[in-house]
Amino acid sequence: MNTAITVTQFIVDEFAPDIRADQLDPDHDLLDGGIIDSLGLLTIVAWIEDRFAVAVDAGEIGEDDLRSVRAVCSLIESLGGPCDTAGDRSLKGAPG
Amino acid sequence: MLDMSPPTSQVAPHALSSFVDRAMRAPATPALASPDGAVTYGELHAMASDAASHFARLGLRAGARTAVLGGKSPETIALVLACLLTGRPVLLPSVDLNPAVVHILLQHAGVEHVLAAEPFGEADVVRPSRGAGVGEPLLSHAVPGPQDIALMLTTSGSTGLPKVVPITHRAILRFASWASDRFDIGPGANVLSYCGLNFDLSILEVWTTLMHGGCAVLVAHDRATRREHLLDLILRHEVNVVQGVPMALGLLLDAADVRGCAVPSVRHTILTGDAASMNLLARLPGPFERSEFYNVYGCTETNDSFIHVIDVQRELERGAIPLGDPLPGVSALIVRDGQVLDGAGSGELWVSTPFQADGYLGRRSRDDGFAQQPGVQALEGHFRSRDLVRCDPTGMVFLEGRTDAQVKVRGVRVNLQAVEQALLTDPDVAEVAVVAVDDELAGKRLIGIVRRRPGIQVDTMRLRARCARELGRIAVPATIEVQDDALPKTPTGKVDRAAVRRIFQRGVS
Repeated sequence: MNTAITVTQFIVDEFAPDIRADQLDPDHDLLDGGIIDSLGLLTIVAWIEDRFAVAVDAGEIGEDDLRSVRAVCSLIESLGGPCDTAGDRSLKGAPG
Repeated sequence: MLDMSPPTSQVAPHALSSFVDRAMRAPATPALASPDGAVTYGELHAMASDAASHFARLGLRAGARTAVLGGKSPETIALVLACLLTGRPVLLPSVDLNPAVVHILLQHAGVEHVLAAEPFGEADVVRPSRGAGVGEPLLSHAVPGPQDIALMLTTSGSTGLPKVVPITHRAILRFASWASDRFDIGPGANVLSYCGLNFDLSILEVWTTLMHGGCAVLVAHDRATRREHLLDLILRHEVNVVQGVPMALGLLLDAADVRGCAVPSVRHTILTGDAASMNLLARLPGPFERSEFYNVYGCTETNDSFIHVIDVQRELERGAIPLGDPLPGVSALIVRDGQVLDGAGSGELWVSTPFQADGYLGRRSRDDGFAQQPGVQALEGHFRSRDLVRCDPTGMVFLEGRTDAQVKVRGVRVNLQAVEQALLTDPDVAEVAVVAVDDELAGKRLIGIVRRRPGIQVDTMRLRARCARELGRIAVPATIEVQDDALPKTPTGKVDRAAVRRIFQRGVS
């Protein structure tokens, strides 16, 4: 499973159970779109550290680094975690 | 300050003496229209006289407090009139209450005799017959003073046991004088009586109409949610005045849409009891093509307090309907943190009206809206509404919701009604309840339950985005459940948030 699918599935399960993973576009604004809030940001950071075994310096990142599935994937990649954002279009076919 | 003088010097102290006058002078005037036929003032008076003739046999002493049970019908109304015209105050409990609650209300109200026009529980049945002739005026004895209680209404009980609210003859006279004038209720006017007699809305729909010579068009209790029935009644009886909670008007609009017809007889449409959505507002001018629209605010304890003449286009641009102007003689104060607000800001509304009750019957608790705010003299005589309002810099006041609709999510105040209103603006959403359930992490977690319009796939992403945009991220429900079933309702037709919350609190615990 590529990272984008993993991230999308986590966000949907954790923050928006009424939305299917295949509905969530990788560029959808998670903050303005009412999917996550400030506490959600912290939850995502903790999850990234845990799931991808990387260290996130909370002082170094801002809201924009976590604003969309694509941004979260880029962050994970920049931290040395695996990423496959090129495959993010496969999200549309992901199971719901 | 309150004007404590009667509205006009000619008005007799008994609220319904004008009804008797009309029955004598113009007995053929239509008084009630119901699915079973029409009843004239003369016939209704004769029915009331017939009912009153049984009181001695039943041992009703003069001035005894009574209760009239049962659904709304010409017979029930005649029985209430019989009690009132012979000087006996009447408690009107909702037909939806369970017998144990009714029993407590009877005690609180000091009721000595329980009557009904049809067999109903333990009540003594007095079925007023439609005899011939008008008979002698019934107001011949035991005329009460203006301070005497006429009706005893009950609050909805959505937050606990319903409370008994005594309404005096004077309060009814003052209110009817204002309402008949404002909504052209007089001879020839047909007024829809949508809700049960236990609701304060009936003071306008039934009693004001009968006091001022109009005809009340009765919606039967068991058909109140059948939209075709409502539309038929309005068309058949050429109703001129419609008062309803947004849900009732929504039903009417749906029926008019389905049939593709207008309701040109309606001249005055009164929205009350709940905040109307912009969706509903936008749909009103279609079928109600010749009507004025009003937003009326009030509570059982004070009766109507504010009125706003709706300019649909302007309200749609503004995105909210103001409460409007206080009725003549009404004083309204906004209180925040124990201080009366001067200028713009939000707070709780306290009102004093010429129509208000003095207190509840049979309760000693200080924890009610009539208890005075300690140390704030300006609030003396004012009723604490428990409604949150916002006053903008231009002095315009808007309803924000109930104080009990306010919850804290992660320490941030969120108003559940505001979230509901945001969700209701979506055209795919037919009905909504937003409830707060306990959450270990956040304190409270919001759950939105949405009934979608038939056959439509609701996009909850769009709903979430709307909440975030209009109210901030904290106000976005953690979950939005979409369903086709109707949400539980209170007897007034408002979504019963407490009942919804009980279902979901059970679900998560």
